Parts: sequence; structure tokens; C-alpha cells
Amino acid sequence: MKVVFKLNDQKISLEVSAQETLLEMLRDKLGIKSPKCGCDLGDCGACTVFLDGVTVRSCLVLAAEMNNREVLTLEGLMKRSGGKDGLTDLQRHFLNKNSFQCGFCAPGMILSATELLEKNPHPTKEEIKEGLSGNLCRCTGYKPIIDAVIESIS
Amino acid sequence: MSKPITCDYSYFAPNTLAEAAKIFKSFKNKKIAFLAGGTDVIPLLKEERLSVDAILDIKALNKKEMEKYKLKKIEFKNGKLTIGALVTFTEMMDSKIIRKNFPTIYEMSKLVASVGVRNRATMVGNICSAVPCMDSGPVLKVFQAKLVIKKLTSTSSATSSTVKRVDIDKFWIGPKKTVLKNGDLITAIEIEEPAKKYSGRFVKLMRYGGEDLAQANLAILLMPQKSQLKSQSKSQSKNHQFRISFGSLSAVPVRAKLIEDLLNKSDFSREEFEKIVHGDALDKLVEKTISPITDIRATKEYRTHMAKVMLKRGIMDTLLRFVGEGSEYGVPLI
Repeated sequence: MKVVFKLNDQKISLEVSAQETLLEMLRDKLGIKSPKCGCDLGDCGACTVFLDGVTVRSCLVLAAEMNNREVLTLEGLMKRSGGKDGLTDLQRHFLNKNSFQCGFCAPGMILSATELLEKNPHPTKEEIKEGLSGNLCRCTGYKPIIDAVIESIS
Repeated sequence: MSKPITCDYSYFAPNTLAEAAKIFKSFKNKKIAFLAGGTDVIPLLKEERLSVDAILDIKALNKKEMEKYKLKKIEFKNGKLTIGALVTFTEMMDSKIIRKNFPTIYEMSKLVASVGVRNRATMVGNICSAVPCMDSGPVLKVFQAKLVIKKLTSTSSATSSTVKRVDIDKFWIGPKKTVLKNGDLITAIEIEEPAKKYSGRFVKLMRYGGEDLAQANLAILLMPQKSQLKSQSKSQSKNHQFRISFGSLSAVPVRAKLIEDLLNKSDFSREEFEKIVHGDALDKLVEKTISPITDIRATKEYRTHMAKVMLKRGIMDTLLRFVGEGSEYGVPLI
């Protein structure tokens, strides 16, 4: 079936199958590689994207559901930020704190942190931990990630 | 690890429930699943634990239909809260009505999975999946919720005969089993405000903070009167009523009537409740009420022990909240 939707501020029209997930469509058909396939069951957060303004697990969304929806991935968020280096302000803090090692969790982590700060511009450390608890990182022990979010609001 | 969906179903996004009924009819007796948030349905399909012939996505229904069945509504009218089938846990957490009049539901919603799941997952989906550790279970039991069910088998769309209401106590019949028949759609959950002034508590035991399923959970309500009918409460010497329900500690969420009776017989004083909480009788009644199993998340002995601890702390915090001295709603108790 055909779906028509907005991806990173661009209109997309695409044939999809009923079994295809949003994650598979983004990565395999549209070349959007920032969302990663980690657990593929909604536990790890590596596949996080914005759908109609809120973060979702793209591995738990069907591509067929996309008609008239709006998807924003890290690629689109960076394009929107318009900075010279193409980074969002929050990403610079992550760089500054050396927050990521392998980087597999990074796109999901950045999107979840972006949503957290949109909703709650001055979160406490506990609120940051809770807000990011659905994004797993196996390298860092989370400290430099949380530190970067704290730095971004101070 | 990539887990593609192998089940060969057809996907539909009907505009009206009449259209959904037609699709349902065309599939005769084959199995259909409704799709709201998909946070349970899609993992089940990926793990081949669910096999369906058609998926009916109810998110594309037109505005008129959404309004008629209150699918996206959180509405509080004449003392009754309605939560539509498409309302997500995030929307429940952000709702001023729920925060103000049903803070126990807010407290529970906050502990469901993680942000990215709560942004999609719905309370109706949570109870339809009927996993014993669901967080909505004990809360809906203590509020004595009613489920509004629309049958797709009936042809005319809005007459009252095609919509029925089921008490939450009659809804679950076993782990992952409900009374819903193929083609039955829960359109909304209805909850009466128990009293103008009441307090509640949701307690969830997890292995770590943030995203996890419950090893045990518990909901408590404390109301000033025996029932909403004042004439009945006058004849009672004790003027308060506890409602308590445990989840993840038996095949389906369970009301703790024996414990409620013990507490409702007591004088309404902090000292009296403290006596009960520190006595042996309460522990024995917990053991009588629950039937936990040992699984990957906890042993039955640990679950039993923690159920007692959670109940004792929960009772005292609910009482303190009632008199305005308890913890803020949303602050974990364990």
C-alpha cells in the first residue's frame, strides 16, 4: 500500500508492506540511518524518532500507519538547527563532555534529551535520569550523558 | 537484533466503525486485532506469539467517530472520568483533570515503561494485553472502573444496544485472557470519582528505577464514606472505606477484600492503623490474598515479603495523604 507523509520536513510518497516497521522503512528504503536497530522490541531506545512531535520507538510502529503523519529523525533535527557545523546546541554539550563512545545509542539519546528539555527546560538530575531511562547505553555508564544534559541547562 | 514480522496479515485503517464492521465481516471468523499504540501488539507479532489475519488501526477513524466514541478524550463530567481508547499514558500524565481529581492514576502512569513507550502506549491496550504485571490493573480495580465495549458484529453503529459496559472485576479471566470476543473493541474506560475528598497510593516494585515491568504492584484508595450513597454510610459506625488491589502477584489483579475489611472495622486514627500495620494479622491476610509465582524477575518468597512491606507503607502513606501530611503524588514509596 502507499503512504504519504512528511519526513524531516519533506513530503514522501512510498509503497510499503503491512509487515514493515517504520524503522525498517527509514533505514532500508529511505537511507535514514540515525535510528538504529538494537533490541527491536522497544526496550533499548536506539530506534527513537519523533512522530507528530513526540518520541516513539520506530521498531514498534508500522510503516503502514504513516499516512498524514510527520516524522523527524536526528538528520532532520540537525538540518533544522541551522548551525555552521550542523550540530544542535545539545549535541555540542554531548561532544564537550565526551558523552558517547561507540555512538550506537547516541541518536536516540539525543532525541530523548531534546524532547525532555522541550517539555521541561530545567529538569533535576532525577528527572533527567527518568527521562532518559528508556535509552540504554552499554559503554559509558551514563554519567557523561547526564553531565552533558546538566551542562546544557546551567 | 532484527526481528522482522512474519505473520501475513492485512492492514486496514477504516474511517468509521461501520467500515471496520464491514472489514470484520469480510474476514468471517478469522482473527482480527485492533491497533492503538502497538507497543504490545507489535512485539507479540515479532516474537510470533500472536497470529492475526487482519489489523484494524483505529487511529485513522474520522473526527466524527472519534468524538462519538470519545476515543481521544479525557473527560470529567458529573463526577465521571472517561479515558478513551487512544489516550496515551503521557497524555494521562499531562492531564490537569487526572492530576487534580485522580492523582493515583497520574502516579501509576508515571511508572509505566519509559517516555518513548508512554508516548504511544494506551491504558486500554494495557488492560487488553492482560499481562499479570500490568500497572493499570490494580488502579482500575480500586476505582471499580467500567469498560465501554463496542461489538463490531452488530451492524447499526451507535444505538445503546450495540455498546455494553463491563465491570473491571469481570474483565480478566486469566493471564493474557479477557472476556473480549473477536471483534470487541473497548472504546473507553469509565471511572466514578470515589468521593470529593479521598486519597490513594500506587506502589510498584521494580529491579531498577525507570523502565521495568513490575515484580509486584499495589493500589490503595481511602474514602471518607462507606459508599457514595450517604444514606447507607449513616448506618455504619465506622465512616471510612479502604479499597486495595494487588497486581503481578496472581494470575489476574486481585482485590484484597479481607484486608479491606480489617482496615474498615478499625477506628479512624493513626494509632489504630499503626497497630494493624505492625500486627501479624495483616501479614497472614496478604498470604491469603495473593498467589505469586517464581519467574525471571523475582521469586515467590521475595514477592510475598515485599507485598507485605509495600502494603504497610502504602496504608500509612495513604492515610497521611488523606489528612494532608503524606508524600507528594508521583514520589516512589520504595
